[in-house]
Amino acid sequence: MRPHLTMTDKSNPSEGEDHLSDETDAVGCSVKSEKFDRDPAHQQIVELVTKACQQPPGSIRRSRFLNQLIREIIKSGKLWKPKTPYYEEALQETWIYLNRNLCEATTAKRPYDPEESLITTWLNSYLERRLFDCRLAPIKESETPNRRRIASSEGKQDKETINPIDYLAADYDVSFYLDELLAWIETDPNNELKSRHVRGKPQINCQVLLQRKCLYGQSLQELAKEFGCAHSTLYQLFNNDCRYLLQKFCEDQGYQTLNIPGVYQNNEP
Amino acid sequence: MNHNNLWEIESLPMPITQKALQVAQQFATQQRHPQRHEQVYLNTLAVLAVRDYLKIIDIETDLTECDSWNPVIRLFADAGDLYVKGLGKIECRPIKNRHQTQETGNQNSSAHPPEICPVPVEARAERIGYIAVEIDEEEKEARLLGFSPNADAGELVLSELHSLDDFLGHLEHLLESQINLSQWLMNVFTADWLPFEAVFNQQTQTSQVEIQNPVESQLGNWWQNFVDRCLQQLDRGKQNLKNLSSPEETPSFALRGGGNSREESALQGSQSSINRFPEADVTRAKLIDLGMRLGRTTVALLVAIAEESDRTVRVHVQLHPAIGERYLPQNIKLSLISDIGKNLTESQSRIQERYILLKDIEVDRDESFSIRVALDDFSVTENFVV
Repeated sequence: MRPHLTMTDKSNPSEGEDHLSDETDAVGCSVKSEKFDRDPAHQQIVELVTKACQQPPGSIRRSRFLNQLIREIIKSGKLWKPKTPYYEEALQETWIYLNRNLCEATTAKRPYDPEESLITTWLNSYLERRLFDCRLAPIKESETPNRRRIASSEGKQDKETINPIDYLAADYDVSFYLDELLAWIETDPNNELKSRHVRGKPQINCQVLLQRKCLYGQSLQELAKEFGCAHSTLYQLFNNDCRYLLQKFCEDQGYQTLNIPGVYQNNEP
Repeated sequence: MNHNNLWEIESLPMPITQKALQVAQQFATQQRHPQRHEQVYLNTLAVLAVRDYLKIIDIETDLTECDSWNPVIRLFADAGDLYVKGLGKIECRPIKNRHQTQETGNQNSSAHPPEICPVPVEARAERIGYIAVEIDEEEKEARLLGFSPNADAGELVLSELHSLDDFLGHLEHLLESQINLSQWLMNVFTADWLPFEAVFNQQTQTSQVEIQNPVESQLGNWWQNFVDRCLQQLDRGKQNLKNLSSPEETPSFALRGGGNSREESALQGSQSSINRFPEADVTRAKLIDLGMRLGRTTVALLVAIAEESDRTVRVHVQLHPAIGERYLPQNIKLSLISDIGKNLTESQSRIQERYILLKDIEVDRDESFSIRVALDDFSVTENFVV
């Protein structure tokens, strides 16, 4: 596999993929040769592509054929795999490119045409281009702040391949809040955590449970063994009482971004 | 790398991106114990791998209501949950590269290491399935090893995992069993959602019920109680469905006589009271079995819907005791869950509660939601789409 850097210079990654695959063959065999028409692996892939595209877009039926198709592509071993930084990013974007342009052209000019090239040829030329982009600039990082404001209407943006929630969760520094939260658990100034416990066993309470899980890394199974109670009992204490108290603390502190999943916010258990 | 077993050949490698490594690292450094550090690191990579996989085969997921993505819960829970839109949570369980582990392990013992993937208690609640993910940091590969519909024993046995295609079949099945409320408006129902109006036709009541449910003798009594309660409530109820927002208010079933009821002609006796509730177009009930542990754990879930406009449907939900019981079990929880898993509203029974209900919700066309009935650590979820 040799990179074709000159060609990628001119191209816009979000469109015009197809003309490349006419001339470039990433696996080194000539495109439109009669060879691949008779290649049984190619025929199997063509069959999967046809079946996938017969299913309505977004249906799980189509997903099932896509799943098989991806497996066959990987099994063929013809997908380019250089040892370069950001290869994994480029590969993931290539899979998304496959998804978006296999049957209907969403980000490319035309959908994949099995008559024209092997599917791996088609994908490799895109992969190559993405790798070139990644090598050119660690653009992703510098673009992050702008992209973050975009609502998560994926699919509408050609290049938006990573869900903005990645950035929201990862970039937002919560360590200060977590420190405060842990200090509250430690001191439990209003005895809220200590007062919620397993029935008849005040020593097995929310404070102890949260501390053991967080600071000692103990599992509910281990704790159940140590405390001599059913792990489902501990789970209920965690799931009902602890979650509720954690949510209440976050609300009281005004940590708007730290809502606890599974807690209905105006309801006491 | 040698992959000898069929299920190993069937597994699917997903790339571990730099971004995923960064996120995993960031989540891990928030932890306060080395063991938790590693757990969270691997959980995050597993979740992202499965999410990326589902994305490339066009299945929508959401992490906003997931424990794995919540900085607070992540401090305490060992969870790799990922919400499949409209369906529920799958659990992505990581295991470290087994081939590396084996090499070092084999120096001391010739026995094959047990090929299992433990699933902690908190990672087993309300899951619709489990996917085991082998994290190979060196190769920057997350191999999706396979799927299991349950993990009751607290572990996944790798050699018993089903294929990813089976996983998709499982999702397809869940999607097909989603209750389509638009079809209700066109008088199309599945057999488990009983015609609520049938209870008013006391002459044909028994035979109707016998056809639709095997527990006929008990159910006859149950329906009788149900009818009595309903009539009582109907007599009292003068409020619109819209105003029914808390259990303190006058209870009533929402019924509109006409249109979709087979028993319409037999409704004369109660027609006048039924007409006081013009908001509901369809009312149906389903018996829900919450397991045998407590003896009396069958409840009746009642769903009434009213078409508000071309685009929205108003949904009203109640939960009643079943089969001859006066009261609901204490602490039974009825929740309405959004398509991404957010708990939108909830109601919980207290001592001697005759029934509970949820605040009405308006649902747009094509939108999905779930209703969950939970008692202790057992729950049943019904998925709906409009």
